[in-house]
Amino acid sequence: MRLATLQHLISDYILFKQEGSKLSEIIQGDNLSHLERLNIYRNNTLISLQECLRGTYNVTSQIVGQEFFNQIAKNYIMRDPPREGCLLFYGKGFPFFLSKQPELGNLPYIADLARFEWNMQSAFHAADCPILTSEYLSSIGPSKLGKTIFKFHPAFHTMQSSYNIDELWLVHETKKINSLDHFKIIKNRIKNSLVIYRKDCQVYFENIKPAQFSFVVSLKDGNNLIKSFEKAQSKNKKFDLVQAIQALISGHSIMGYKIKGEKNE
Amino acid sequence: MRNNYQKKSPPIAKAGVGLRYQHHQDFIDLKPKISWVEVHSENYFGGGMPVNYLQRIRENYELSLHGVGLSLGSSERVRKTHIKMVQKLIELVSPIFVSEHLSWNITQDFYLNDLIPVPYTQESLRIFVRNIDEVQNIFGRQILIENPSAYFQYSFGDYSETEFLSHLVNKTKCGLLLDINNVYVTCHNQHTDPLTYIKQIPANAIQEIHLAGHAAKVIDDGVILLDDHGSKVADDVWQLYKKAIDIFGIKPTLIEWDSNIPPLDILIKEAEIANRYLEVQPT
Repeated sequence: MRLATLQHLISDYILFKQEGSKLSEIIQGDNLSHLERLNIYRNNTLISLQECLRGTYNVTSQIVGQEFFNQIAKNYIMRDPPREGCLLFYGKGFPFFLSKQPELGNLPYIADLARFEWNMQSAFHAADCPILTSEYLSSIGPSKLGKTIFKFHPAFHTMQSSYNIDELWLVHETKKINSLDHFKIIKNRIKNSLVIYRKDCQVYFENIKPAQFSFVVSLKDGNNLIKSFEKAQSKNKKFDLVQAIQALISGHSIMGYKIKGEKNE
Repeated sequence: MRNNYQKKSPPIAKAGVGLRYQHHQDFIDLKPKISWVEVHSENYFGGGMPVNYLQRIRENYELSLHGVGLSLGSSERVRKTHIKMVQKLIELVSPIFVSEHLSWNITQDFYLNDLIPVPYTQESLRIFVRNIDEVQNIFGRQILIENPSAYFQYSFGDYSETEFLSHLVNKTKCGLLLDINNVYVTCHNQHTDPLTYIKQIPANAIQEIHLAGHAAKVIDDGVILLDDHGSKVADDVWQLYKKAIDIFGIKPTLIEWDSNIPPLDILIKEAEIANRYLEVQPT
């Protein structure tokens, strides 16, 4: 049997795509059947990937319970196994997968919580990049500043949720049991607007005002400073542009810029 | 083009420990008296705190990179993106060793997060040689190949595992990382003699030794050993290690512990045991 065919068969068995009968004459050993021997690899793969997902979605797993999390993680792994030999960024689709699970209907915030945990994980492991400093930014001439498009650090993320999932995460992470007992998940009419960023290797998150969030999202979408400022002003006429830019710079959130119509910086 | 890659400055034939996230700060604070450390390369493919710790620890310790994701035994070619990430890490930390496994775990675009043996056929040998050649050429250095732990045998093959490794060494000039625990586990599970295996391995190619713990699972009439790296090195493995270094001399030895991670001092004590075995051997 050619190696490619053999490896496809073994992989299909380990990932629950095939039942393994074609391997019965190929996989040998005393006492155990060929499936029992292959199950060692299947279990190693499954358990290690479940642990990987639990590492990323730690608070989510605490809330839904270990047994349920193991089952839902297994279903996710079967549906979307890793595609790379590095697992630091495995599981991006898990929050969306959770949002489609009918058993979690009584936890309407759980997918948002998972998305928050994904963003925290991504920020923690994001590649190191140079940071744009305020000195560098001030070297851009005033006539060009409005046309500036910023390139964000890969650790920088934005998200919104109707629920106070950032507070929920913090209570679980700090493990203040009394706080956990008294904690209430709240659905807000106005969405919580969160930014997640990394500064000096530490990951931070902040709940920021709608105008500032609108400004940051617009910049991240590739709009220039003027357009993003206008979007923020539409939410709050008193939007403080300087303070908003300073917050991004001091949060090590920007790694570069370009002026539209000029060579990239 | 195949080269005889130059090693970095010869590593000391002493014991090191696997460096895990849980012990990063301990290494900074306590500076344990250990000769070198080894990390799983893939754990440092990102940036931020893990890589920051790695660089700080590297200032005081020699370091080895041990990969699990290149899948050198895949019938498919090795992923260029993965090779680049390892290359970037090599340039960052200048490791004493770069190692991988005599196994595969990627096929049809899926990564299986375990280390699966190949049948030792001429086709497998051709594929391993192709993949190791490519990786060594890009890295510009020799890599070490670790013998796997195995829970089954294939019904077909052209070589024994030691013959396969000998051919790999001859054709690619790679080095070997001899995992004594894997020898013990595999030979137990396949009812073969571990000392015979040790005697047949090309000794001159061995650059590093791994020692680790294993678990025993009772199945019906027998016991299967599982290479879980989750406990102290077993007495039988220490004995096999002693016989191994009696046969081929002292080699840099690493204590691996990847699950149920204990406090750092437990790992250090295991390394001290290994050093006692190394110290009584003539150099």
